[in-house]
Amino acid sequence: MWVRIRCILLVVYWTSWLTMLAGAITLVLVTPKCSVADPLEWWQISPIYQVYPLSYQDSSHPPDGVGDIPGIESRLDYIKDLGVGAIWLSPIYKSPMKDSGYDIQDFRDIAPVFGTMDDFHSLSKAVHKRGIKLVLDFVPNHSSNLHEWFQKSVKREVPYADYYIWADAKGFGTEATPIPPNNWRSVFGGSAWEWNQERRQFYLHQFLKEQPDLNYRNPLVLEEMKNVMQFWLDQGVDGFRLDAVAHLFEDEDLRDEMVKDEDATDEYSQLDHKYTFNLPEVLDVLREFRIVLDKNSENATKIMMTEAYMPVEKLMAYYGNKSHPIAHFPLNFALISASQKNITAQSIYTAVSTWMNNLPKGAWPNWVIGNHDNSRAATRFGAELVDAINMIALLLPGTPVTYNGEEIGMEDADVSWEQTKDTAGINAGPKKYKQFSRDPERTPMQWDAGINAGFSNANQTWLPVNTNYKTLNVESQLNEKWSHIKVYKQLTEARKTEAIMNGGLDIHILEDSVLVYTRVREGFPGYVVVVNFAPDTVTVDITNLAHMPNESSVYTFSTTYAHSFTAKKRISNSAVVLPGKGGLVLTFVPDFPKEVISL
Amino acid sequence: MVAQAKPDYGTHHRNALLATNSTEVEISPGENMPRKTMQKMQLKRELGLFSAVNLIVGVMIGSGIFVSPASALERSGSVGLCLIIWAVCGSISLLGALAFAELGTVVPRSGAEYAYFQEAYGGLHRFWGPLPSFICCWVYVIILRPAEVAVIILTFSEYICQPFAYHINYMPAESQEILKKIIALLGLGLLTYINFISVKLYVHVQNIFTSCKLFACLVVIIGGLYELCIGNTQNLTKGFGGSTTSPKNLALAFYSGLWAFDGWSTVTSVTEEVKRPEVNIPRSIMIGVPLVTAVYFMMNVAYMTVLTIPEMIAAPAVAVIFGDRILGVMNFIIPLGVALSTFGCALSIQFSVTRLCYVAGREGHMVEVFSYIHMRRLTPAPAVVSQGLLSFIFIIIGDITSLIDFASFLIWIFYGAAMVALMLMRRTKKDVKRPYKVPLWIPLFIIFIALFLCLVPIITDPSPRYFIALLFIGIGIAVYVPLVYYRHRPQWMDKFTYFIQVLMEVVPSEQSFD
Repeated sequence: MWVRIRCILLVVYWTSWLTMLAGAITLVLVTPKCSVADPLEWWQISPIYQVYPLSYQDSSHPPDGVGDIPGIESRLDYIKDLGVGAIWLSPIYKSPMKDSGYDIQDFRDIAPVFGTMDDFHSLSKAVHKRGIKLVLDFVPNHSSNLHEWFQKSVKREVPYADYYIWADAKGFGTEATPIPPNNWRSVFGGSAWEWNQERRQFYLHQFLKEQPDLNYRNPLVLEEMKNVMQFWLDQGVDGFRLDAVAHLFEDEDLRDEMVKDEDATDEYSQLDHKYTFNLPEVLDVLREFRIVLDKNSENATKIMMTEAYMPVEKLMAYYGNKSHPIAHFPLNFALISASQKNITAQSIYTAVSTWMNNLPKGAWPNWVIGNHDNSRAATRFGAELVDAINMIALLLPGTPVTYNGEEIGMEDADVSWEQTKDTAGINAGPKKYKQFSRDPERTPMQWDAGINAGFSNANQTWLPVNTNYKTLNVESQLNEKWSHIKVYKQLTEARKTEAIMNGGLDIHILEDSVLVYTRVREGFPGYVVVVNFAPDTVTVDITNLAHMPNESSVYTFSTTYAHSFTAKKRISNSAVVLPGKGGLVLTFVPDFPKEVISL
Repeated sequence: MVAQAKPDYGTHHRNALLATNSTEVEISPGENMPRKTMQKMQLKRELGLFSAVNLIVGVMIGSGIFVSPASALERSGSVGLCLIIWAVCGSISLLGALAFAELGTVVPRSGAEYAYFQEAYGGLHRFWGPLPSFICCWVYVIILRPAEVAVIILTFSEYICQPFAYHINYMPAESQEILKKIIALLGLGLLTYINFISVKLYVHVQNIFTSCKLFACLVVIIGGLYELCIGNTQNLTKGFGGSTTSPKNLALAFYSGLWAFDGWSTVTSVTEEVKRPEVNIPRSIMIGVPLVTAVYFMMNVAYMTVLTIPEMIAAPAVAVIFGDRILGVMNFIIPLGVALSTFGCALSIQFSVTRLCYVAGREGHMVEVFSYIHMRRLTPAPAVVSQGLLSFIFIIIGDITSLIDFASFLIWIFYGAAMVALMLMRRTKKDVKRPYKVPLWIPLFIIFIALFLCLVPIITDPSPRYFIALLFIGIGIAVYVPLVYYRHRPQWMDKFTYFIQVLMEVVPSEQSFD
């Protein structure tokens, strides 16, 4: 009897063991999967570095004073060393350069001033060899008036006749002057309509008259542009920044726009652009572009960043949704907008939290502090805040986008009327050009204290080099003990950590003038960014922040700190001293209730 | 192979024996029990030097060095000081273990502290004499060891799941928790079965697992050395910068360091199963403890080469992050190594505590049937099953790490008391041949360390939770008085013993027969 009981017990023991094993396996297989964030991809991890090719590096023989593609290639080690993960090139396409390359004459060719297709392939190879991605500017809204399509459209050649937006004159005034179809204005001022004598019709140009708008109500145009996109993907590019996407569509009935603000300084802002800006059809076209990119993303994601200046709530639509994603991110200009008014801890706090609060679930944020269309960050925020603003932008959740030169805190240059190249400035005339010209933020990169700041050996550069280049340049900052570029490199290095990549964000204002945010992920060192916007020294207590221990180590600090200040120093969190306009990044071991046993 | 019982062994044993009542149970030899086996009914000596070293290494290296090696670093503040602390902790553990080696030769019985307390204090007083040994086995057998096994096997389950992380990470947290427990129970079932079925099997499994464990350590060490060789020294070159100057932090650093080394006395808890214990116990200690010290030291160097101090302190599992950083596609080695290491560790802890259970049962401090051994398998089957059940309960209950935290400082009290026993027995048992003797300063030093280690947590973090330890002891005394001191035996106990005997085919071990 006992033998049998023993037998039974043994069988019961192993049966229950196997049952539990089976149970565990079924549990794994049957349980509904809940979504966990996917591992981050290249476009999320490192900053994207905007290179303005005209002003980056001139390497032509003889030097022509204009930057070019081989020049960029010669500076790749510098770019790699900055710790950025992708380069976004402003347009390098064949162009008469009426809008510094945003007026494209041939979407599939390189501008001779920048080099050849071979130069481009060489650059692409060199970039990828360094593990960096290459993103191109894609300009879907318009072409140059010299583009073959436009030339043929003027002649009403099939199928190009409707590639652009043509409209008959409303009538003819004195001396048979044609009257534009409606009151629409160009972004650069003046009417958005230009009379073409040959076709005897007006064509629409939301930008310069040399930039006729493509007609996306014509399916052939979308098809053409998708092919252009595919062409560059086939050349090995990793994604696109889509220019001026909100302008892609206009009202079919050409209705007049209402006057919104008669006193606005620029003519464009006077109207409410209900019929020319951010029309719902825009998103459908962008979705088509996204599908092209996704089809090419088997090995690595091809990204789409879109450029559109609009309130955050409206901009979020550009992310699309989970089933129909559109942009990987619409470029976020909230920090730029904040810098155009009075800059306070509150205004930056609002800019950051508005974006984060409006962000759709699962969408990836991004932070732009400067670009080729806005004054240099050092000029807008003030030179003292350069490091602090980089700290804020680079360590927030999301991808920072850095315009070349911002890593060394380049400032707007003084460009005289005679030297002005930007059509927006020229159109405004010698009195008002400074208000509209974007040349000051487009002057050549300041590499060293040599001739033309090391940018070019030519007698004259296409735009003058900023006169401060002797003291403000890459070489001197790399040689200095502490400088903007060293802070920047420290910040890109910190982005490799779990807390910055996947940690939570907790942002506050302390003592009215201090913006502070923490990035914390359980199990990893946390980071706290503290920035004082006041001109005087402020001492703050940050121990009340979540997960904050009593002590932290200094990770990096802005150049406004005294020379004696050093990193790695341990400081007490109850009295963090910030000089006027000073920024500080601290790292700490976050406090989590934890069970520790060591056996 | 059956080792010969030593002549003086039995004498000592009898002296200390609390008149056990084992003989009053008339057991009828089982239907198929050959008389021959009956004669050799005792635990066999299965552990050679290699296995004894493996046992020490197996218990000492658990999951700690892979998962949470950074608390010493956090307290000490600098790389240099931290390494010194690890080296010193290793030396202290070696000294303690050597003192235990002497005890092991004086009292050649299984049970470690328990046996020494019994031998040294047992005869001093009728009531107080046996009490220390009883409390010792009470704390170890009922609470601490089964809880440790439960915690370690839960760690095992967490790491064995890592290769399937893709599936598991997508599960809701509650399901993950349940899954973890089920896998832990599966592991527990397996290791209990191994300990139940055969000592030989245990020895084989243990040898394999310890080798795997050392291999995982070696991977970390080599990885670190490689990084060092290619010039990655920026973390290490900080040297002593940032060292703590507060005595409290220093004490806490030592405290956590010494915990990582705990387990050095394990081999003496299975003395009766070691071949030629008088030679092999000191030898295995001389090999095992310095080996573990060297491994810990090198692993810390490796971690500190690759990771920064805050990274190490904040990491939930330092070795895993280390693996992700430098092992590339081979990073699965680390979680697998941790899983094997923890399984082996739990297996060995259970193995050794069942021997304590067995000895205590023999002495009447535990249910008598725990001292019975399986007729053919020669394992203390009832003790193994009871330990398995206790760990099972702890896994089911859940949050028990705090339980261990509160009780574990008692371990050092026991070590200290064992040192007192060592010195006492130098007087009371002068005539016993001591093939191995430590200088007198060693036990004194260990007593000092023991006092230090029990006082540090109480002084630095005075909290009522240490009363939980007192509560355990209180319950122990409440059990001791009627059942051990007054030898009260409930009526049903005999029936229960008989039932277990026939159910598990176990008989009293040979020593209990005389």
